[in-house]
Amino acid sequence: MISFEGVKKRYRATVALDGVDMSVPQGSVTGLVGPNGAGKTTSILLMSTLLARDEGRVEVGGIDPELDAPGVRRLIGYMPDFFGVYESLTSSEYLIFFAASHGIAAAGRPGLAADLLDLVGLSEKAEEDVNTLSRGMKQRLSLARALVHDPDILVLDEPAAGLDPRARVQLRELIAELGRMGKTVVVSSHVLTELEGICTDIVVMDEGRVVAEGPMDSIRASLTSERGVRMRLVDEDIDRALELLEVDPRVSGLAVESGRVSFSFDEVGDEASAELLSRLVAAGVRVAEWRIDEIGLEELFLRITQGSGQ
Amino acid sequence: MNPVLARESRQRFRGRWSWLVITGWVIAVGLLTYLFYFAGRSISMDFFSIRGPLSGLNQAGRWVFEGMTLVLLTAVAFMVPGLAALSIVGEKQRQTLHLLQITQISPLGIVVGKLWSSVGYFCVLIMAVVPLLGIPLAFGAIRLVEVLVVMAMLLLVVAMQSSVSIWVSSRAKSNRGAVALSYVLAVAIFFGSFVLMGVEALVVRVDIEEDGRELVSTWINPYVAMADAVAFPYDDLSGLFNGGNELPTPLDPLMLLVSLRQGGDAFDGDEIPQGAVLGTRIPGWIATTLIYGAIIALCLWRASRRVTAPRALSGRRKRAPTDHASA
Repeated sequence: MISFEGVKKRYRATVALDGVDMSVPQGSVTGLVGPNGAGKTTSILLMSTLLARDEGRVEVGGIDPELDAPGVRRLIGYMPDFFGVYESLTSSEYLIFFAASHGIAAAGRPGLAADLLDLVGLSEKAEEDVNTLSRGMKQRLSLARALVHDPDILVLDEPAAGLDPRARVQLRELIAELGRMGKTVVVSSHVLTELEGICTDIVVMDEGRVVAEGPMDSIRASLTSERGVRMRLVDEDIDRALELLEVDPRVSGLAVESGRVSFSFDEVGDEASAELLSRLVAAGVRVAEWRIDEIGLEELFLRITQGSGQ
Repeated sequence: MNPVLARESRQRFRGRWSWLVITGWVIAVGLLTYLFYFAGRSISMDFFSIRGPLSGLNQAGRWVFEGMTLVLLTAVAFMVPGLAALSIVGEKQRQTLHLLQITQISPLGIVVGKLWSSVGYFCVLIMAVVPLLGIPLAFGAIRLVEVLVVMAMLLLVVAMQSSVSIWVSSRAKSNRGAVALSYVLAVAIFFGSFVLMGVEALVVRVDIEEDGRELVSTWINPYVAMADAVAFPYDDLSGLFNGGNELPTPLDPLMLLVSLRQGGDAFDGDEIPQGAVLGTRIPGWIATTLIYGAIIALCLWRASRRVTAPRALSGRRKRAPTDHASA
């Protein structure tokens, strides 16, 4: 859906992008992660038709943003890391204005604004001045604005910046919902925990380069050879479980603490861990809780950038 | 309707300040109208001892019309830069320009929307005081064509000054800088051009007396263009001074410049009769209209280039965008 090939962008002496190659698959929720200055915002501005590249090739839905910016703008909804405020406009009027700006027929605009406000949970704020909204509400309104022309692709730049925990959770849920609706979502953040659980794909950037990209699971699998497993058992069954686990060559680091058993499992596939669980259950071990510790995005990022010299 | 124009109109007329401004404007122009009425009537009846109510009213009507023309034109110089200077830079400061740029509105559409918004607001101000122009019409002091000419010329000047301010706004980095430079340019166009005229008149004085060389610096001055446009419906300039009578009226000094521009000798009336037309020349107001039209087109084109995103492949910038300097 979006592809970069050897893209370079320089701001005077500063190299913002240094030969970026990446692709965002259709229907994915792709996290663009990296520290400040990694080139995330520059990449987003390039794909959003707001910036011209120095070298390389960019395509959004098969269209070069520099050759057919209006064509790309029909496909893309852009949400910046700030909320531009127009004084004296209500939330509804704000959306109606952008609907008009996208060429949506006048008759359909009020209904569209109402639907979008409903989607982002701001229906009750429809007639309130946008200036009076909290930052979290403004971010949700900004997301509604990005959706006003029903784009196939959503590009969200640091959408949760400055939000309180509740607003972050609400925004994460919204983004996840948009992913389920079939939108291709590109979401950038330098706070990696924000993207945990909503991204299907990831592009890791550092110092203007892409250091890793692909489906989250594949990247996890490529960076780890074992998984941590924790389980809670009925007390009488702990010994039986330990007997079974100790003889399994894939299990190491067995420990028991407060009725919980934890160990490392030398397999990363879901089938292997499911097979182990079913063996325990078949042996009469009553498992009350079974939990596999996935490697987190932050840990993932650290491991990736370690390999690239960080 | 252009969405930018629709939104700005909504915003401009929503706040209570806009109504206070309009109310204050109408009161101020009303007071000035009375002042011009009083002045015109006093001059004809007290200084020139013209008796009879009709003569006094006619002169008062001429003063009201010409006085208001000058007031409205001067108001353009002082109000339009304030209205238009923040149009683009304000979007940058509010961080809404990017949001506009990624819509289907073209860069020219954004700029033209800003222009219409500025012109439209001033039109509302003019319309609010139009009933006052009915006074000289009722007195029989002016013809309807004169009112229409003044309105058309005012619109042209507003559009020109708005375009200049919008261009300044598109280049400015701060609101304060945009407003300051817009006012500097407005003062230069409205009042600095008088200085330029003086310099040119002194330099080419001999030529004026000998062959009636035209003062090209008059072309850019909106006051001279207005006086010329008001004079245009009349057959010749000789009967134009004082609105066709012998009593002084507010546009008289400008009519002198119109005469000078047309080749009349403002310095020595013995050689060339004041107000005489030497040869056939393009009327000054047409020259001004063409120049202002060119300024409008140039400013809007340059401003639209500034709000185009992404910048052209051949014109790559090497500066980081201000909103994303850290990127």
